[in-house]
Amino acid sequence: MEPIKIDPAKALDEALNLQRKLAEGFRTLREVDDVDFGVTDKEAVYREDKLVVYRFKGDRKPTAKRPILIVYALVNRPYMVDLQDDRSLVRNLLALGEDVYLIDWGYPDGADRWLDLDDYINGYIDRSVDAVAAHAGVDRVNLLGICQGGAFSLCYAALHPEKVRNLITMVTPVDFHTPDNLLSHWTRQLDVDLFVDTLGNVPADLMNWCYLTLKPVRLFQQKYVGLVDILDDKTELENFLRMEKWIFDSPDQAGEAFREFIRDFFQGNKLLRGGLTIGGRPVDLRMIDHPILNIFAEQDHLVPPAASRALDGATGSEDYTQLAFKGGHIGIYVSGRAQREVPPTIHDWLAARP
Amino acid sequence: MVDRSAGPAGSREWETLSRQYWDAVQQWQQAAASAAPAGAPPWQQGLATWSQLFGDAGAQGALGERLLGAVKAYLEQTQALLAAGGAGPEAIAAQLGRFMHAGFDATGGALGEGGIAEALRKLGADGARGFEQLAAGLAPVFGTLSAEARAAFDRPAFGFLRERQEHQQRVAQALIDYQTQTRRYDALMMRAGQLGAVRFQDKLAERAASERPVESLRALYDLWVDAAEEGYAEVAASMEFREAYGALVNAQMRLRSLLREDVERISVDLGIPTRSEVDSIGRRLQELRRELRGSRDAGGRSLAAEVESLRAEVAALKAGGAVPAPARAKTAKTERASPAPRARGAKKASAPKPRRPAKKAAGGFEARVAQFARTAQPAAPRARKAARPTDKKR
Repeated sequence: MEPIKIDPAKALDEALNLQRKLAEGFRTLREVDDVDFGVTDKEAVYREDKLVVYRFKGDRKPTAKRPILIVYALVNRPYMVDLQDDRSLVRNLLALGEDVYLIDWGYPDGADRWLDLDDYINGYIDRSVDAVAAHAGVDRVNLLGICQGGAFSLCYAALHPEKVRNLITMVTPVDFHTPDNLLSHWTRQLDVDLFVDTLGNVPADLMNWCYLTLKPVRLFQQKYVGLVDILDDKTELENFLRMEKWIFDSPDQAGEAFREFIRDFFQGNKLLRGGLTIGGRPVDLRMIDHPILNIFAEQDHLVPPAASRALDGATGSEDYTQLAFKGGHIGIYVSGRAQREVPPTIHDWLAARP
Repeated sequence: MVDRSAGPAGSREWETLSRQYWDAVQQWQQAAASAAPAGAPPWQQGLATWSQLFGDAGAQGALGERLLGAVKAYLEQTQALLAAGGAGPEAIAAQLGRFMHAGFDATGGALGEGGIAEALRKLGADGARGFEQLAAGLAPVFGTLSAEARAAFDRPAFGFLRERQEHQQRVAQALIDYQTQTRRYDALMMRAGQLGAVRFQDKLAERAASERPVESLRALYDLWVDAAEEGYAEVAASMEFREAYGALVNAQMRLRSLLREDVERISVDLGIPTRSEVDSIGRRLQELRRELRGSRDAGGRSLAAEVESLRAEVAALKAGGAVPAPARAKTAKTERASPAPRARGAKKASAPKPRRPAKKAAGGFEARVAQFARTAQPAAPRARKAARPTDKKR
């Protein structure tokens, strides 16, 4: 049997229809203004340099006694957790009675070139934790680290265990040397000292390029061909635009922190293997004896699930729970399934550990 | 239905259908501005024509461009794949290989022609202009140099301009190395294309075997994307790619770094601050900030320890027991705060005043403790006023 059985007349129709839809879609595209994001009201409770710690305001007062502080990655903007009304981890947590704070790192520039991991973890995060604890009137906070922010949260909990009550990690790499980790694979032969000494801060465009080339044909081309199918739906188009905006709205990376993260995490895998020091202090995952909830995505192409699963047994915690989410690195925040599954899991887990 | 096995006759039928397509596009556009070109024009030309007329995406210009680029590539690829289908699997493989290599242009040139090197080259960091100029100007020259001529770059330099000569030799070597690594990377991308073609044939064979033929352009395209990604992933996950990728990035960084030295030397001659100088200032500033914060935090901790020690003393005094030894080493201040021992037989001792009630004495002491406590608060950062606008992206 012939593998291709396309009726040429239908093929022509298909090609013409695609162009018709595209032409009509451009009309919709012209009608769409710049999309908004970060939908939940918030107030700034702490500022330092370019960092701002926000507290989100729900429709009702929080019932949880202890706040959650979200530590997002440096490589993307944190509003992915509060993208839009019906796709917001933050909004759903607030609705369940949680008290949610978030660190917004801002956009590093030349003045931040020499910030290292000590500055980020023992400096910014530590002072943010203090600020949140003081604001909420508690001695310890619940830490929710996402992606690279999850790795930072693990380091923080190991270095400052007395300030953390519960630790939640989402799509967090722990083992950076799993065979399916392409990003790690590509950085292993990189002379990161030469790289940072030459570039200084690492440009966001370059970071984006690396992520997109993990699946180049799909991400550079196929997704836009697929976009034609939803071009006539303004709401769907706006959803797409929000996501698109988030993907390309990336901060530059402070040079020194990037150097240390690539050298010690991606190349040395020291978070798991040991030997990691931050600010001259050893980071030992076994020092983490807090309850841990580890959530990862089964179809994650950026942080493979195996990289996150490695947390199981690597810490000193005797209260470890994990949730394997059916979705990808982004879907874990924005998919319909995520809205139904992730916030209640976090809330119930925390409620059992006041 | 077109019989693709019919050879030249089938091709003629294709041409006829393609012309019908073009006519339909023309009709649909209702624009008589341009006549259909001769031959069998590619489908994406219709797109190019109407997009010039209607392709303004307003505020979403960037997305509009990406969209048009992707659809143009889609039409080009599906038309070519479909046409090649009549000439057998080899033609499809050849076509697919072409798209995988050069066709990555549809990805904004992301992977074709140097890939990562190209992405790095486009960066606007300092030295970029010098890099582009030099790379563009010298590449053809160095590319054709014989091995013997290249060996000249290793010859020892001498004389007054020895250092300058050595630097230029290093630049030349770095450029050659960069070109070598770029070709190595391109060869791997070519292999990814070939592997993608093999995967595509496998997928078609699988469809044929399972009697599930591909029946639409989109399905054909999606199958091609799957195959292309599989081919790419296999190469990208290989040790060879890891080495080539790292070597290419390192080669470009070396070249950039050397070019920056040139720029900096000229800047120094002209009295313009250099990047190295600015970096040096930034580094010292950051070190100062750390020291300052460290001193402040240490001071805060010391005061807190002192207050804790005093509280323990007060508690012991209240209880009427012996004053406990401080848990931590006393600071100078706590030592001063302790009652100083007086010499036996001193004047005041000979005329003792009536003792104050213990409660009052303790209260005065407590007030001092409270004073210390108030000064020992900086550990908890104060929330600054939130009036400052959010930092904007550059």
